[in-house]
Amino acid sequence: MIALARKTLVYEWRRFLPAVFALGFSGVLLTVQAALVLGIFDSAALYVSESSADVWAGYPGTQSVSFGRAVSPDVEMRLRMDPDVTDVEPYQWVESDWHTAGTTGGTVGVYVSGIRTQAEGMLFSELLPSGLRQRLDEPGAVIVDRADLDQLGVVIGGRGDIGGHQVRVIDALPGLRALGGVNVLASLDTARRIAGADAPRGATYYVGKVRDGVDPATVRARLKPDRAFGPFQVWTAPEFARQSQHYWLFGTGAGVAVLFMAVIVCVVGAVVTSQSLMGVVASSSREYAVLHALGASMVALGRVVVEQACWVGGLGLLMAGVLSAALLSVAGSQDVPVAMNLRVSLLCAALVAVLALVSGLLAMRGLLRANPAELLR
Amino acid sequence: MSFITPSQRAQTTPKRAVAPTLEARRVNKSFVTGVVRAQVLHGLSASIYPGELTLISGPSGCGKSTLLSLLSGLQAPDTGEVRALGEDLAKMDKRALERFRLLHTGFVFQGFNLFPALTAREQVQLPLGYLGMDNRKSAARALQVLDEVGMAHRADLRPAQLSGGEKQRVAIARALAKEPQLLFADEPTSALDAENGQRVIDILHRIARSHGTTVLCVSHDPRAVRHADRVLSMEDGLICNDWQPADTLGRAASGAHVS
Repeated sequence: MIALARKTLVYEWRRFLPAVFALGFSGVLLTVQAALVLGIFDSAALYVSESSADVWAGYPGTQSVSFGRAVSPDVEMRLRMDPDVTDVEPYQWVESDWHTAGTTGGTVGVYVSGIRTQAEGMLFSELLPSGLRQRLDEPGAVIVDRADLDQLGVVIGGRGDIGGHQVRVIDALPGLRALGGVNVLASLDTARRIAGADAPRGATYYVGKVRDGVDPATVRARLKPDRAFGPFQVWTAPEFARQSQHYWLFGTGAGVAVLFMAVIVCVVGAVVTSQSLMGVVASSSREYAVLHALGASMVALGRVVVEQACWVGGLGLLMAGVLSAALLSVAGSQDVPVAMNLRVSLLCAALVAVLALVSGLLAMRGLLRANPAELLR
Repeated sequence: MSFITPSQRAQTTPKRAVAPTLEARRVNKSFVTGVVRAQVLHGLSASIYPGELTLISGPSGCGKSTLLSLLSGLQAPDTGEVRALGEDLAKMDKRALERFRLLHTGFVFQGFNLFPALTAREQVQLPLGYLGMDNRKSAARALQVLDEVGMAHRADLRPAQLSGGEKQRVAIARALAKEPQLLFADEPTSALDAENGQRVIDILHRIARSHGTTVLCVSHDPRAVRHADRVLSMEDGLICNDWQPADTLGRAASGAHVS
């Protein structure tokens, strides 16, 4: 069989370009949008995902890490009582305001994470380079994201004020950006000093390390709520990270907004692509009509159109892949919160493929003009 | 050329040794434009025979292309019967009609309607693929047919590199590749110069004679009239004359069958 679809695509490539661009840019929009969403909502769980703790104990029903309430110090004992928990450390979460030193201007809301400063500390272990954690021992020492320095009006080594307590920025790191505020890392002592009289008796969370080779879910199952230790609930790290992301994505309406945007991108992509393809099909309607007169069925002619759409989809996908990778790389280097994983990239690719297929099916309307009787004069 | 009166029409019957391959029996066809219904064919009957180049001629709007579309199964009559190769086309569903056209019919239109991306050989190969023929066989067959229309040496050129006459010869080769028993041509020479028009008519004539194909051609080209085996002259949706140009006196053919 002569490869009519492919040969036409190669010979008349200029006429297919609008369709390729439409699909390519739809793919780029979907991918970049998904990457931004993943990047932004990943930050809701970075406290968990950037730490090496296997289990988290917090107040029952906590929907997201940032909504933690204090639990009793007895909870630490409960975790330590489990034979497979090898280490436990507290996590003090304090919400306060940052004042830039020497100004009387506005404030910036900050989330202070009080963490253990010993080298074996689990919290933010994926972010903190060796030695930096210990430097937090200095009273008032804090670490922020490098992209937040401008917002805080401070430089590395500079001073500021959190909740009336003077702090000094000892370093700035990438990957610490928060959702709706600024993350500040400090020692437990500094965090408690900032909290002042509001400091709870226990901690916001207690995180634990599970013995190598033991499934954290098994430990979590053993650590059932026990009134003797006060109210608490235990999650495995992946569960708590997922729960935090899902809250922001689906509990706040942000997910619906993203979905709405994705639908709009798909609809616009399908309309532009199908119109471009239909134009190409319609311009060849007389040739298709001759083939139909010679006995080629409409189904067979439709297959040619769909095959063309699939080729256009493949090229659009290639374009979307290259452009998206370049854009996300630039965004990442500029500290824009973007993230991508295999599952979401495959989902975006599948959406572009479906878009191409739907466009091809819509473009088959152009074949309706391929009426052989119209060729007779 | 002479005209047959209504009384003569009723009495004339074909006197041929072979059965007709195409028959129209009392067909009517009308078209609606807006609120106006235009009757194009008025109870027309005709029989077309194999091995002949039969020409339908007549002024614009007389219904000659409509008759061709009915006899080729591209359109259905409002009333009446159309038989092709002994089969009643009205009794076939859409798929059966497509299959019938695939197996038995070839078409040549005034516009060449060649795919710009395909070479002459590929244009001819294309319909053979729908018959299930593999590329190697269809390529050989395409070259054979292109040779028959004198286009083998241009087999690897695309339409943009061919003249109008050459394009039409490729279109004829495309129609012939399937070795159809019925070949329909609608104004195949009107877009061509004298030399190319003559060549196309010669090819159609030769196909009818050498392959025993039923060639039905609509044309008002006088060159086509001279080379036809039989001419059906139409006017106002009726065949008004059925004659053989070989008959130098232009008498009404004895085989005329009109109504």
